Amino acid sequence: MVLKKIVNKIVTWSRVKSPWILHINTGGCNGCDIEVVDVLTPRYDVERFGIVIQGSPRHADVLVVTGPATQQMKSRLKLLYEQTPEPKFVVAVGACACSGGIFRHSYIPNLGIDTVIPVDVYIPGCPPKPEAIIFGIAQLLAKLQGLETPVIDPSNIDLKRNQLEALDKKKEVATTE
Amino acid sequence: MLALWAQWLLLVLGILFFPGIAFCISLALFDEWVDRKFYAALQDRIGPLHTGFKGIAQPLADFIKLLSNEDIEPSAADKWGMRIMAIFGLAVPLVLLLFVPIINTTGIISFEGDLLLLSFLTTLLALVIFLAGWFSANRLAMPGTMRAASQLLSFEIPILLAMFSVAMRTGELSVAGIVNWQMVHHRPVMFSLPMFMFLIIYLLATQAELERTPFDIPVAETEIVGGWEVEYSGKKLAFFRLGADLQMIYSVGIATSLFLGGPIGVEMWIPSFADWLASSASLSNPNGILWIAVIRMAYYVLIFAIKTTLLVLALSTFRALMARIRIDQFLEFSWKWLIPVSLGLMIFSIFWVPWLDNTLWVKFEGLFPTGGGT
Repeated sequence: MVLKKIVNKIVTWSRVKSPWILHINTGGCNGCDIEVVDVLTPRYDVERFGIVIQGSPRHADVLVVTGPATQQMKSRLKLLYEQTPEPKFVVAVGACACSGGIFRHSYIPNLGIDTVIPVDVYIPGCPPKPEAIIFGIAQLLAKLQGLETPVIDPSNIDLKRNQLEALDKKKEVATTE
Repeated sequence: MLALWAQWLLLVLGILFFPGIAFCISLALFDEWVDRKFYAALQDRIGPLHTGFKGIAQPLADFIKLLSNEDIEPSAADKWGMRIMAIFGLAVPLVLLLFVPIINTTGIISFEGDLLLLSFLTTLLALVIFLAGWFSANRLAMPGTMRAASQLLSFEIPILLAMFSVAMRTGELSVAGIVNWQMVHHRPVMFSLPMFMFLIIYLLATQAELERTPFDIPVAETEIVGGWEVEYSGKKLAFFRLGADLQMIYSVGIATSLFLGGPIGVEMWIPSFADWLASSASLSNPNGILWIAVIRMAYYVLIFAIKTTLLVLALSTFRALMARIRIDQFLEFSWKWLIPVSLGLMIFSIFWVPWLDNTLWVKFEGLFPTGGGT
C-alpha cells in the first residue's frame, strides 16, 4: 500500500512536470494559433515548465484545441482524441473553442469543441493573451495535482440562452402590458 | 588474485550499476538536459527550469510519464514485432556502452577486434529503426521509415571509415588498444594530422545517425509528424527515446576514446601522476593501494563525463545553427562529398602519415615534457 502510494506520487509528479501538447486547429481564424505559437516561442517559452509541442497524437498528453469544431473537423477531432493515449486532457483555447464564438449564430451551428469531446479547461478570449493560456494550463496542472480550481457552470455564461431569456422576458412584458 | 566468484560478482555489479546500465542511463539523462538547456540558450530561451535544480530532472520526468502512459497497439500492426523492436531499441545501445572505456582504460567488455563487433552492432541499430517503422503498419510512418533506412545506411559508411582509419593509424583493432596507444604516445589521436578531419566527419555522421537537425529528415516534425515512431506511445516510446539518448552517449563516448584519449586526462603529459595512478589496486595488480583505485576511478569518470559533455555541446550547437536539408540534398552530401573525402583522407593517412610522423612530428617532440615520436 505504501509502495503504491509512493509510485502514485512519483507518477503524478512526472505528469505535472512534463505535459506534452498537441495543437489542433478545428477551423478557427488562426488568431488563437498565433497566440499558442507565441506561448511556445522564446518570449513566453513554456519549455520552462516542461511543455513540449509534439507532432503525433500518440506522443501527446494535452490537446490544445482552437476553433469552433466545424462540421468537417468534428469527426477528425474525435479521431485525434481517440488516438491520444490515456490519461489525456483537453484545453479549449479561445472563444470559438469554448462556445462557438462569432461562428455560433452562423447558418450551421458550431457550438464549440465540448459538443464533440470532453473539455477540462476553458480559456476564453478572442484571442486569449499568452499569459491567459499559460494560466489555463497551470489550472490544468493544479487540477491534476488535486488542488482547488475555479469551476464555472457553462450554462451560467451561455450568452445565447441569456439572450433568449431576455427576449422572452421582453415578450412577456409586452404581452402583460 | 581475487577469487573467481568475486571477479564474477564485480563483473555483474559493473554491468548493472557503476560503469554499466545505471550509470550510463543517468549520464544519458544528464546529457539530454545539457543538450536541451544549451539548445534553449542558443535560441534565447531558458529551457527546462522548474523540474528539480534548474530543470535537471526534466528528462527523468519525461521518461517516467511516458512509462505510465497508456500503451496503444494498432490492430493492423505486428504487435510482437513492435514490442521486440522497442526492447532492442533500448538494449542495443546499452550493450554498445559496455565496450566504451569509462572507469578504466578498457571497457567492461574488451577483446582484440571489438571495433569490428561495434561496427556490426551500430548497423544493427539502423535495422532496428527500419523494422520498428515497418511493424507499426502506419502509412504515415512509412516515408519516415524509408528515409531513416536510406539515411542511416548511407551514414554508416563515413562512421566506419573514421573508426577504421583510426585503427589503421594506431595499428590497434580494439578500443582499449587505441586508448593505450594514446597513453603511450603522449598525444590524442586527434593531433595526428588528418585525424582531426576524421573527428569532424565522425561527428557529422553521428548527427545524422542520431536523426538530429540538420539531418532530422526521418523524424521531421513539421512535414511527416513523428516519422517512423509516429505510432509508438507509452512504454515503447519511452524505450526508444531513452535508447536515442544512450546512443548519443555511446557515439560521443566512442569519439572520445578513439580521438580524444578516452578517460585519460592530464596524466598523458605528467608521467609522475600517471605512475601514481598506476600504483592503484586493480584485478591485474592486487597488491596496489586501494584508496588510489577509488580516486583513479572517480578521476577517469570525471574526465570521461567532461569530454563527452563537450562533444554533446558541439553536437547541439550544430543542431541549433542549421536548418533541415532535403533528403536528396542529404544523400548527395553523403555519397558525393562525405564518403569520397573520407576515402581520400584514408588513403592520405595510409601513405603519408608515417612520413609525416617521422619528419614533422619529431620536430615538435620538445613541445610536451615527456616527448612524442613513434
